[in-house]
This record gives sequence, structure tokens and C-alpha cells, in this order.
Amino acid sequence: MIASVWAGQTVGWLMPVEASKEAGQIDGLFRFMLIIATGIFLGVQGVLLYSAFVFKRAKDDMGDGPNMHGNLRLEILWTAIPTALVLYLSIYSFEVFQLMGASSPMGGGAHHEDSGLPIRFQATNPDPAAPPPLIIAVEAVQYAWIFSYPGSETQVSELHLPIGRPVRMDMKSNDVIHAFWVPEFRLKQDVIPGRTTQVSFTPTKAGKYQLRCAELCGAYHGGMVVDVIVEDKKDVDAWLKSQASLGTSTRVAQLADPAAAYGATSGTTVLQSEQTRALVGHLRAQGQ
Amino acid sequence: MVETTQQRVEQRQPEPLGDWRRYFSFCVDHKVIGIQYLVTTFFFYLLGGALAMVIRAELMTPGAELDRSLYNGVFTIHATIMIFLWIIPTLAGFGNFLVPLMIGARDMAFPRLNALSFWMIPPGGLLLLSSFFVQSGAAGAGWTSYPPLSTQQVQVGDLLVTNFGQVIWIASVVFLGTSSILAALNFIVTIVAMRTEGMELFRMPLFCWATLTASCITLLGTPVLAGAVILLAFDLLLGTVFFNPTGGGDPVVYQHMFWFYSHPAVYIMVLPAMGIISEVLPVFSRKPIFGYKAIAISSMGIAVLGFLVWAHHMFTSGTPDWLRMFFMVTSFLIAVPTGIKVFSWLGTIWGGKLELSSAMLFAMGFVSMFVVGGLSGIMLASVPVDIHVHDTYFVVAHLHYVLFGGSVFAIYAGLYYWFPKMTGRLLNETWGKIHFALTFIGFNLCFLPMHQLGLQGMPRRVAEYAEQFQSLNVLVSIGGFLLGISTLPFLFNAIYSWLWGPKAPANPWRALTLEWTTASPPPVENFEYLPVVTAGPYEYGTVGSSPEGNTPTAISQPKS
Repeated sequence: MIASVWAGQTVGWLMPVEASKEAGQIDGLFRFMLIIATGIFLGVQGVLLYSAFVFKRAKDDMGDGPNMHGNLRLEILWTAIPTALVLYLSIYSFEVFQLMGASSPMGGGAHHEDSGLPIRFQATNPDPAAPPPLIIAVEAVQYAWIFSYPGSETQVSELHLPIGRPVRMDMKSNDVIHAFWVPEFRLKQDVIPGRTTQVSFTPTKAGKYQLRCAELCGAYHGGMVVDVIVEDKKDVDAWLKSQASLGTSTRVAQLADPAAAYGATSGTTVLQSEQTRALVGHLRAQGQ
Repeated sequence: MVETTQQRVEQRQPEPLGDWRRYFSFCVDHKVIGIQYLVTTFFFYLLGGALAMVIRAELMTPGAELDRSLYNGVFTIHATIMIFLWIIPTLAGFGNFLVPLMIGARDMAFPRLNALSFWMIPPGGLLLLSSFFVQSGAAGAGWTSYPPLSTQQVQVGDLLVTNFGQVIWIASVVFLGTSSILAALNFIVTIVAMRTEGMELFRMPLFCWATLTASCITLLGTPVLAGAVILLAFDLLLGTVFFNPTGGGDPVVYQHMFWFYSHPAVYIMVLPAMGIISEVLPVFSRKPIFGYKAIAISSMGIAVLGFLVWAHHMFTSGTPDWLRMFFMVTSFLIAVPTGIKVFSWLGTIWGGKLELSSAMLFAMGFVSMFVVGGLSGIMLASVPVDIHVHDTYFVVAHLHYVLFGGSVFAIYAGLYYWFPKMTGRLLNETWGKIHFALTFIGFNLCFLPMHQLGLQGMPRRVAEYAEQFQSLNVLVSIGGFLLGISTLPFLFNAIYSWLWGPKAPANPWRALTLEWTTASPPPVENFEYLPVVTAGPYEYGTVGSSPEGNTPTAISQPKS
């Protein structure tokens, strides 16, 4: 028991820092599950090890153990306890999920084209004083992320987010399935061609993190990583301004180019789909 | 009746089982087919393991040394081999060898179909491996082969060409899937229709229960997988748009179809493994299995629930909230029948007289490791936690604890336990224990740190990763290499003992199930007279047991 609680308390070293409002809730749930899991793990291993030593057959003992086929009470007990436990975990997980902005399963669910997770963000946001979410359009292509901020024509390849303001990513893919994942935010959402998926969160901790593609998207999938910088709003605004003054070609040059990073001879080596070629071609044309 | 039985023996009298050439022929004896399965799939296991070594060598450093397309091909083919050419067919091999013996039958219901289902495996496997040699390279979209990635053209030089590696992958999966459907059909008919007198359903050994349930899952699930990959082939080769959004298709539909089979497939792999454990533990604990009916019924519970959990692989795939909640609850619930089994095994061991043979050590190792996989599975069932760890090394750790800890440990337990019955020779126990120790240490060193890697932020299926993950990755790789080395004592032991090991008696473990009532190895058609069963399969500790052991509860006597 003590060991399980200890495992739950020391979970910090297992996870990266919590940098979003949602991260704390998810870690709380994970910690609780880890406490239960450690208890069960130690119980099972304890019985196995104890049996291996204590019930070990003596060399010349050819007899049998007791002819015991079962114990109804015990069997009911070890069916009932896990059932109650998993039902409790379901409710707990559901609550955390709702706090993350999910709609109630009784509320009719999300539309087909929606990701589900953040769709009712405004409806479930209980705090009317909270600022409206900053909506950033995300375009995922093999093997780059391209962001568009509201009120700006500028497309950028790096994410700067203001501390404490809810953010919503409206994500599209032009080629294959990608997945938006910043481990410090604990959130992940696939970016699926043919639909717009969304993910919402509130960054709470200043710092530099990395946005990784989590869904296998081709040869250079591992290189589809960009920086996410969480900072004060004024710094974000200043950065946006500085980006707008840069030419598109400069910004496009900042796009992660795995081919260059891995010594490939030509940038086109890693661009596999026609759509990706067209998109990047369009960006380059803008810059000329 | 007796006369009829003897006549059949004379009519079919094939060559003696010991003739090695029979193992390379279209032999219809279920025992030969069982061994053909086991040996062939072990060969593929070694190949799949070699590919795993390549992956772990690549991941020793944060940068990528291998060509990235080749790396993707290597992990895709590693996974495909391990699932479709090792775990699923090797468990079918056990089923083939054991089911007729355990239920007191002379053979499987359809012996020729049985041989056919084995003979689809080697060409299916060679076909899969051939994809490394085509111009487009092997399939590299992961064993899940999600479109549109899997239907994308690949670049060869300056040209975009059709991904023939993927086409070959699809063809081999359909081929191997057909083989497993045929085998499943055969198991179901054999178990339902060919049990000997007195072998009621609830007197069947639990391995038969597990095989029956897993076969039902195969029969229901595999055609859906075949449907999914055949539609994928249409998209790839004929330009249809089933999964292509630019033409009105939907890539997520493929995921639904794929996981409708592939989650239950976990139970196709784990249930027979659980069956093996339920055979080994009572024998080496000298106690009846604790909660026989609970274990049998929980297998069915797992099979039914197993078809209601597939979308937990798709919590981040744009699945609506209400659907995620439904699949979260069903995924949690599957922990209940699984828990019943684990607790029943502990109940079996508790208070027994344990003989820590190699088979028993692997069986106890199975329980120990499967619990870890089960517990991380519960975490993955929870939507908020899964959203963070989905597609990371946490999932890789979980699936290896379930499929290596939960299937391969059981396969080894089964090999040590039934080797004397299959070959008529005893394995060397000391080498067996060395094998167990190396496997157990290598396994945990390899897969335990992966949990932390995933939680910290290392995605799966990448050749390059952030430098902060290197030390853990080196540890994982060392564990992986150790795991590779751990197969050597087994290989040596199996080959040496098969040729020169001490001769095994009919029942070296003093076990009570029917296969031990016949000679080792069993004669053609298994039993001189079909046995009549008068009691359950695990009646250890009954009054009247002889000091040397027990009287088999199945009494061999002529049918009258």
C-alpha cells in the first residue's frame, strides 16, 4: 500500500513538465491509475514469489496438493472488486475528459467532421470572463507544419503561443494522416485528410517545447518536429510582426527540411505527394 | 465399435512418424502438421527477431543511420512476421498437435484441409519477405498499413511508382489470413463434433476451450481484415477511392475495419496462450485448476467483449466523444474476465506443491509479465491518458508485455511441457532454466524502460529521436540483444535433445489430461482404443492417488 502511494507521488519523473491546464488533470488521473496498478502488480508478484519459495515441492515428495476446485466467495470477490474499480475509473476518466472540453455523451455527440475532443469548448467553458480561444489554422504536410494566425496572411512554420489564453488548432492535412502532439501539453489529435480536426488547450507554462508528428507519415516522419514557444502575449505579437515583415521565401526556408538535415541531395526527395509539392510550390511562388 | 476403430487404423496405416521425410510432405496426420507449424513458425520468429535487432541497433543513437524507407520496411515486416507468421500460426501448431489428443479423437475433422492450412504458411511467409527485393522496397506503413500513407506512390529515383511492396504485404496477409480461417474452421468442427465418449464440454482441458474461443474470433474477425486490405489493394492498384478523401472516401473507415479484426486478434494470440498456462500450472502445482468454469466462461466473455473495444485504438482519430466513452467503458470491462483468469491461476499455485521446471518457470513468468501488460492496458483504455500516450513507446511497451510476455512466454512454457510428447525425448532442464533467466532479464530490460520513453515523449516508428532519450534507448537495445541471445540456449537444447536427449516415458510430468495416456510420441491415430472419460482433466489430490502420482481420470478402455 505504502509502495503504491509512493509510486503515485513520485510519478513526476516519469512525465515531462506540465505546461497546459489539461496536463494537470491528466497527470492526476494517471497518478491514480498508477497507484492502483502498483498495488495489483505488487500483490500478484508477491503471491508468485512467495509461492515459488514457500510452496516449492520437496525433492522426494511425490504427493499432490489439496484437491480444491474453487471457492465461490473468493471468485465473486475478485470479480466484484475489479468491476467496481473499472467502473470507478470510467467515471473518473469521463470527468477528466469533460474538463478537457469534451461534450457529454448524452448531449448528442459531435458532428462527423469534428474531432470531438474540443468541439464544445465554448459551450462547456464555465468561465464567461475567460478570453475567447485563439484559433490557429494548421496545415500538416509531409514533413512540415504550417501555421496561420487569425487576422494575418502570414504563414509560419513555428508555433508561438500566449500564456494563459485558450488556443484552438483547426487542423488539415493535404496528404497522409499526421498527429499533433506536444508531450508537455499531454494532448494529441490526428490530422486527417478530408476533414478538419481540432484540438484545444490552454498553455500555462512559459518555455520551449516541441511539436512532434505522432502518426507514421512516411520516411521522414521522425523529423517532423517544430518548436512551440509559450511566452507572454506581447512577445507573441512582436514575433508575429517580425514574421510578417519577412518574405515568405525566408519563412519557407525555415520549414523543416528533413532532406537537407539528412544529407539528401534534393529537397524534392522527401516530398512524396502531388499535393505536398503543390502546396510548397505555392508557398515558394508567394515568396518570389 | 472397437472393431470399426481397429479397421480404420489398419486402413490408414501410414509410414512411421519417426521418418523425417514426412515433415516435408503433404502429410495429413495432425501431429505431423502440428510439428510442421511449430518448426516453420519458429524459423520465422528468428527472422522477425533478427529484424528487431536491426531496429534496436538503429535506435542506439539519436540520429538515423539506416535509409529511412528501409527502416520503415524493417519494423513493418518485423511486426507482420511476429503476428501473422509466429504467434498466431505457432499457437495453431499447438492446437493441431494437442486438440485431437486432448479430446480423444484420432485426427482433426478435415485432415486434408488441415495440411492445406499449414502449406499456405511457407509461401505466404516467403511472399512477404520477397517485398524487400522489389524496386519500391518493402511495405513501410507499419503493420496497420493506414491509408493514405499505404496507398501513396513511392519515389524511386526521379519517378513515383506504385508501392508494390505494399501490394505484396496485402497479398501475403490475405494468404495467411485464409490459412488461419481454414485452421479455425477445422478446430471448431473437431472440438464440437469429435470429442470422445464422456468428454463433455466442461470436462475439456482448458486449452481446448481457449482454442475453441480463439477459433470463433478468427472466423468472425479475419474476413473483415481481408475485406479491409482487399479494398486497400483496389485503391492502390485500380484507383478506387474507398479510403481516399479526394474522391469521397474516408481513411478512418479503414481503421475501423482493421481494428475490428486486429483488436480481437490480440485475443486470438493470448487466449490459446492462456490455455497453455492453464494446462501447465495445475500439473506443476499438483493441484486442480482453481475455478475451472470461471476460466472457461471468462474466455467466452473476452471473446464477446473483444469485438466491442476496437475503437480504443482510434481515440485520437477524430472519433466522436460519445463513441470514445462507449469504447472506454468496454475496454475497461475486459479487465474483469482477464483478472478472473489471473486470480484463478494464483489460486491454483497457492498451497500447491510446486515443481519449478522450465515449463513452470515460463508459465509463472507469463502470469507475472501478462499482469504488467494488462495494467498498462487499463491505462490505455482511459481516453485522457491514451490521448497522451497513443502512438508512443508506452504503447510499444504495452503490446510487447502482452504479446511477448503474454504469448511467447506461454509458447515456451508449452514447448518445454509438450516437447517429450511431441518428440519422445526430454529437454535438458538446466539449459531450460538458463534460457528462462536470460529471456526474463532481457525481456524486462528491453520493454520496461519503453514505458518511460513513451510517457516522456518518444513517438513510435521513428528512426531518429531527441538526444534526451538516448540513455534509455541504449538500455532498451541491450535488453533487446540479450533477448535475441536468449534464444540460443533453447535452439541448442531443442536440436540436441531431439536427436540425442534421454527417451521420454508416456507421462513424464504425471499429468492427467488425455494426451499423456498415450505413448510419447503418440502412434498414428493417437490411441489404440478411444478412451472413455469419466472425470474432469485436473483431478490432482483425489483420494486414491498412487504414491507415484495419480491414476489418469480418463480411463482407456475399449468402447463398447
